[in-house]
Amino acid sequence: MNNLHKRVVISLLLLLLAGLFMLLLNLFFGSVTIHPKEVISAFLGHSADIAESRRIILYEFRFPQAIVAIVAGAGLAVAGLLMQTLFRNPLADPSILGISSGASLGVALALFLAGSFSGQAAVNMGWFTSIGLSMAAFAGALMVLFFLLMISGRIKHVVTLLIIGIMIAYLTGSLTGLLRYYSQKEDIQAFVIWGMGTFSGVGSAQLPFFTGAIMLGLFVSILLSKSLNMILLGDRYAQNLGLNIKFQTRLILLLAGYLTAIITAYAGPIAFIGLAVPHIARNLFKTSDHRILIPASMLSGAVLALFCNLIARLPGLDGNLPINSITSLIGAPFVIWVMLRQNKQSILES
Amino acid sequence: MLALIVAFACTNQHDSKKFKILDEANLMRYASGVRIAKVDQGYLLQLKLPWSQSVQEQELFLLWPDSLSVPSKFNQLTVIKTPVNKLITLSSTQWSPLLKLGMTDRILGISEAGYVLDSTMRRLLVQGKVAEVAKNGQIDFEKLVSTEAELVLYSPDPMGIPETLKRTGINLLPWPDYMENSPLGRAEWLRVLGYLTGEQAATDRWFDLVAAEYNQLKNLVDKQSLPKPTIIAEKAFNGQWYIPGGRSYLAKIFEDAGADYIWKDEPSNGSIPLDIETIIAKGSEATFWRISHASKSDYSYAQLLQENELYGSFTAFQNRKVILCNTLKNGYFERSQYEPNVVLADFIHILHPDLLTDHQVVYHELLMPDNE
Amino acid sequence: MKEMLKLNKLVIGYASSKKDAKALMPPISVSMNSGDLVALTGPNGAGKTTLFRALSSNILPLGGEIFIDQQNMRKLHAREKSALLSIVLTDRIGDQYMKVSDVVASGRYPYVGIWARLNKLDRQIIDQSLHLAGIEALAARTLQSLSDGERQKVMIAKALAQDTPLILMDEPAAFLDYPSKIALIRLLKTLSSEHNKTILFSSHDLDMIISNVDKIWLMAPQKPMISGIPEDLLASGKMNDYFGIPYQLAHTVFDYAGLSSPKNNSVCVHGVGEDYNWLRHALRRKGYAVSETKGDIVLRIADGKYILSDKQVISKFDTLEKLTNEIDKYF
Repeated sequence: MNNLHKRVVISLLLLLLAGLFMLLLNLFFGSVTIHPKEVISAFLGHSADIAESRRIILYEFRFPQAIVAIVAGAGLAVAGLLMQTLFRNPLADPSILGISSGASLGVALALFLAGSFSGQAAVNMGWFTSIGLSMAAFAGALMVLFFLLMISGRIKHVVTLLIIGIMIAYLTGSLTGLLRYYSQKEDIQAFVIWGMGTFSGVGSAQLPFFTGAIMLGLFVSILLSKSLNMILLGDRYAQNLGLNIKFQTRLILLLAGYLTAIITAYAGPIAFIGLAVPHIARNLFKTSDHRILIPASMLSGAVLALFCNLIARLPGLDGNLPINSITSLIGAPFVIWVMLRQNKQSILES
Repeated sequence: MLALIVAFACTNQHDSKKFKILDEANLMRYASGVRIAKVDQGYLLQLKLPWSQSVQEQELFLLWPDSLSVPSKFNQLTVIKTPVNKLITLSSTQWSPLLKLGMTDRILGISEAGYVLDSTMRRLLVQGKVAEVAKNGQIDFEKLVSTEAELVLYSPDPMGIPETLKRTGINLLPWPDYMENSPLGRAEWLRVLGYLTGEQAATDRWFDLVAAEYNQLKNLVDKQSLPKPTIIAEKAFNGQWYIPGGRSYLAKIFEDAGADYIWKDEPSNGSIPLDIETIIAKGSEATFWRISHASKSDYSYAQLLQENELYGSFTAFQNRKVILCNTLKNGYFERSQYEPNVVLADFIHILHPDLLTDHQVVYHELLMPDNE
Repeated sequence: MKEMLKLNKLVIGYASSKKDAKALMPPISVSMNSGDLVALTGPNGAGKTTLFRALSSNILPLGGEIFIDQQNMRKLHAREKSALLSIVLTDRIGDQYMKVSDVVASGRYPYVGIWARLNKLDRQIIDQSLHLAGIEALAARTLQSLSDGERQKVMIAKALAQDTPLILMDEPAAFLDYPSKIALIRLLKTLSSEHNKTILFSSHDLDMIISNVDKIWLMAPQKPMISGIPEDLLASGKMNDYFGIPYQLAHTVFDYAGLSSPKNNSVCVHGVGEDYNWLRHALRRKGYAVSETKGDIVLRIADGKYILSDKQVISKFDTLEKLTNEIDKYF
């Protein structure tokens, strides 16, 4: 028992180290070459030694971007884990209930409405800045989330909720498609770019709010570890063990939705991390215990997001590749590998 | 000289920043989105964006000589020190006049290098004198900051601008030149570049020539009470056909060139998506059809028909009256904005073969029948 | 004898709306005592699952009350209920990484804090539960690697760790082969008789339950639920009535009766016929040795009554249940 504990703690520490290492790489590398020595001295408070432009690159861009990658990676991973446990479905992820597509609809709706009122492409109208898009995304995500919470009280089975959620995703997706069809070219371009996702949309001014809001959600998720363990046993066992299923279901939905909505609002619909990371965490730690899985998912999510952010900005690759493609590009083969490995194991066991 | 700039009567202190440039003081003549007025030793620049109802702080800029200190009454304004020597121009319409005016060394960064046609700019990019700070619609902020530019000219764009751009600490000036619907208004933005760079004498001279020639061509058409051939524009892309609105730039050129644009009464100044059946119902019998196409190779009627068989039913197609603008060959996006006189002359030459008989077309040509 | 579970005019069924409630059967009033092993049986569609859901607070009863250990379930919080009643279902649960020890430890969740930290006592109880269920060796295995019978034991160990006086089991024998069934029923009997667990389980396996349970709760669609010892229900023809087909104990399949711990006392029973067979069955099930010739007491059947005579007195009983209760007092 104790040995097991030790192994878990050591593994978590190793992940943390990997995260710190990735963070350093993210600070060291970018499209502009800054010597690691300069980076370190900038963060050790000797900022007077380096040029103002480099200070801005580090403080306003590289550092916030790395922090956003960490926080968004951790948040999406935990949101995915919550969904997979709640629905006891390994394919669930933050986007499955239409929360992300709700965010997309919000953005499309805002761009379209503004565009059709003025006869102008909304992107030409100034007020559709990144903050405007964030608000629209957040509003769209909340809209879907509240609808889900509303109906969740009338639903007996989570599978029904899952199906309704998927229907909502299709519904919002097709509405978005319709809006795109009737939109101005420039707005479609804006929508496409928003859909690529980015960790660079948050500056040092908004960073504390973004980080704080996600941290709060992550903290609450840790408090739910025991409930999640019970839910994994099935509703009836969970209920029999004293869990208020309806309340907890709503709480978990709210929490996953909250994390997804905020992250999507600031970083766009970032795919895959939410789906893949819980599997990675389970496989690394060989456990279903959420007291381990939640911190493990947070750390793995942060490491993966940092890694993707690094790849997307590699100097040779010329600028910022869309983060959304990178996460899937790196994540998908990894998950396939994990699954195949698992399959082999279970064949050996049986 | 009277005070040309009126400071609103300030009953409360927050209103003191509300300056307004009156018509009499405005140095711009055609542009509707920008006003410039002389104020003391500098200039006040106001971006009057068509959608904004009230004068807002961020739309007012003070151009002030670098050598002088800024009087305290302008404390509320964004100050741009002139002449600006280090510029990032995120749109080709911003850098192309600077090149023509010989200010190549003032351009530090541009966007989308892959689409640049101008040979001077391509050389500068290759030599590393100009950096590509944005690609595929995404700004590389690290590169942008590392240029240590003084001013970024940007097209109001949704993603990360201006919030993310603000974080660069570099002065920003929105550049909504493409919002101008009148050809001369759009061209006049080169004068704004003149005020920024301190070269207003040169830009004024340039613009005056363009404006004079444009108006002359327009008058030429007006005087001749010619029959007005009908015209449609653009073609379908992924099932959507975006037609220019009746108040758009192109509609205005059509009008000035003496053409009857089928959708001249559409109130939009942007573009409107229509399905191809609507287009056929209303516009298939138009005499002329102006399309723009981006291709390094030649374009043909056969290619056009291959894109969509329905095109074959268009009168302009059947009579071989398709007007082509190959933007990848003629530098339309980079230069035509400052040569509306040439654009107009192209159209007059094509639409009215009796006028401007020795004009050499630059941006538009009548697509020649394919050699069978 | 302490009354552990009591249903008072309980109405079960489904309500699509408040007005449109459909009761599955007349109100149920039955009870079971502490340490009883009771089987709930009846044809498909009788409402066994519905009753179980109502008992485990998964659905609300349409009327009446459920008392567990004298406490009205309507008035308790989920947390309080979880200390009175544990359940064992046939549902497959968990992902591929869930371990036996995780599942059994979850039985302690009602008693531990938000971090689910186990103290010494919790660990002791978990170890005991694993031991009682006979699965200590499986503790580190994943649930997925176990057979159905082993999984069943894991869920029973979880219920034991939950440390409740009452355990409900939904079709615990459903997917088991014969040896596993024997092991299961042996375990249930041990838990009820030696560890004072009150166990109510549903089953279709009449052979198994008739020879082993203390009582049967018999259900059929739209019929009142009746409770009685197996032989009474058979001798009186109720079992045939509720199932709609005649039942005969299939001794040839497996002799479950041998599973009871034998008592040293013997009972003398004269007579032949179906009723005598059930009388003998009831006695054997209780562990008494049945003799044709001699015994501490003598039993016979006359005029539909069971007559017990010893050296001093003669007493008559309507049902085998009353008779066997009386015999239990003798020894």
